[in-house]
Amino acid sequence: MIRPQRFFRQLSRHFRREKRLSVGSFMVLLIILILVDLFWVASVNINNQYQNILKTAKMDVYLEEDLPDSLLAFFEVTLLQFEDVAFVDFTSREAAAQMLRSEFGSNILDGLEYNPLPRTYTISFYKGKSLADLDMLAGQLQNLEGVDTVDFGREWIQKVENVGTGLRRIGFFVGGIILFVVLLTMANTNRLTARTKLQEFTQLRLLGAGPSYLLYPFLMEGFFSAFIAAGLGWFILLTLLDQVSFIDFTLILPTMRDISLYCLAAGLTGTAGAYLGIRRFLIS
Amino acid sequence: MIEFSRVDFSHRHQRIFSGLSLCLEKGTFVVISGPARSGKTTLVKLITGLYTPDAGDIFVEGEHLAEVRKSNRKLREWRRKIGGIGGVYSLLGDRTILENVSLAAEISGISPQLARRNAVEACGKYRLSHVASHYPGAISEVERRAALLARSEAARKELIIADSPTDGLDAKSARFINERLTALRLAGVTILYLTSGEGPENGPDAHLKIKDGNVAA
Repeated sequence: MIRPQRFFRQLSRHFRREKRLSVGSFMVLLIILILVDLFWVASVNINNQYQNILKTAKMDVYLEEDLPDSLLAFFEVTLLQFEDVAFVDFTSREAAAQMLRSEFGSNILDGLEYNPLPRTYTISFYKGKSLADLDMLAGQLQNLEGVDTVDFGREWIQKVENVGTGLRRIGFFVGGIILFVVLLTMANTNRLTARTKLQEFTQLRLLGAGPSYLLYPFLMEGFFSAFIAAGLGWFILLTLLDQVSFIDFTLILPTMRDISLYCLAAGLTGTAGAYLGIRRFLIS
Repeated sequence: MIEFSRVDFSHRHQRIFSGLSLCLEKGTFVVISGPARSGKTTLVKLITGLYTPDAGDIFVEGEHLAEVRKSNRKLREWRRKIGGIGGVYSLLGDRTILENVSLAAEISGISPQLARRNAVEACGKYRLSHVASHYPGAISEVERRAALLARSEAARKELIIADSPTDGLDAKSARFINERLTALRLAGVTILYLTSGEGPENGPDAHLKIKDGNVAA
């Protein structure tokens, strides 16, 4: 029968006796997990920025020179019929020229015989659209009669999406390495501890102790070391982030539920690592 | 309780037992003497299932030890019946004497309260009450050996293997250990006493000698 008090007593005895080893492995776990936390915060916030860019994305539809003004009203209604289009803003040639003058100087168009700037419709959307959706819509608009070109800052959005995708890939890679390092750290710590306890194991086996009696203190140490290191890592990181002020930027942080699940996952990984380290010493 | 039938055993290419046959009846006190490196501790390891014989059969309580070893549960149950002093049996250095004495009972599945009560009682009987809260490294050798006997008694062991239990002790301390073993035998516990000397004069039912890898009267 598993008695929690006994295992906690053994756990504390275990920790006290192999203090340096246990503290060393705990510190390694803490540093690794803080790096994971940092990476998590960075990737969540970059992804959030990407989503914000998509949410505020607008699409400029440049009209052909020879599209008669009489067809503009019809054209506007056509644009509004596309999915998720919230509203459209029309910019006339004169308004475009005015904007150009105010930005680059009043004589920017001097010397030209006519105003070469196109009439433009700027489309705003109800909700963020993915790059693929924007591409598809741009293609549809491009096929409309009277449309010269369609532009929505594709290169910029593509760059941000590439960064997001890259981060996710690195995240999986780093996550895999971190998982491996946590497993390895716990396995090695427990293997080293078990080696120092071989005589004790023999005694316990001679007295009829089963594998569970030998195993549980190690599993518990594995679980609690990783669980506490994960929790402490977040506490340190959140405290540090609290001291730093970000201008015009609200940092998105994980919820308590996310952190709890993360700590639990770290604890379970630590337990698995502890088992890997100790299993060879469990033979009868 | 234990029967060896034509057991051969070698360790590191050295023949230790050759055709060993031995019978240890329940409730008896048997002394086996032999010089150093004659195989006394090996005998303990064979009985407890730490070693497997190269040939021959070992029966424990009527069951073949090889079969017992195949089942972790059976092996645990067998080992829970055995207590020991000296040789492979020792105290755990990071537990107090009281914790050490209650350990075997605790492992046997006795409730912690009862295990502790038995341990306190056994510590009193073995004159260990004053060192119950000490660690093994802080007490005398005779107290350590007494603690091992107390551990066996607290867990109500059926067989006690005493492997050179009085080696290195003064005459008075050796007498104390031997008296306790004799008292345990009177209480129905089977005693296997291994020594390089003669063993206690009064109490044992049989004195055997290890000679040429076998045991003879």
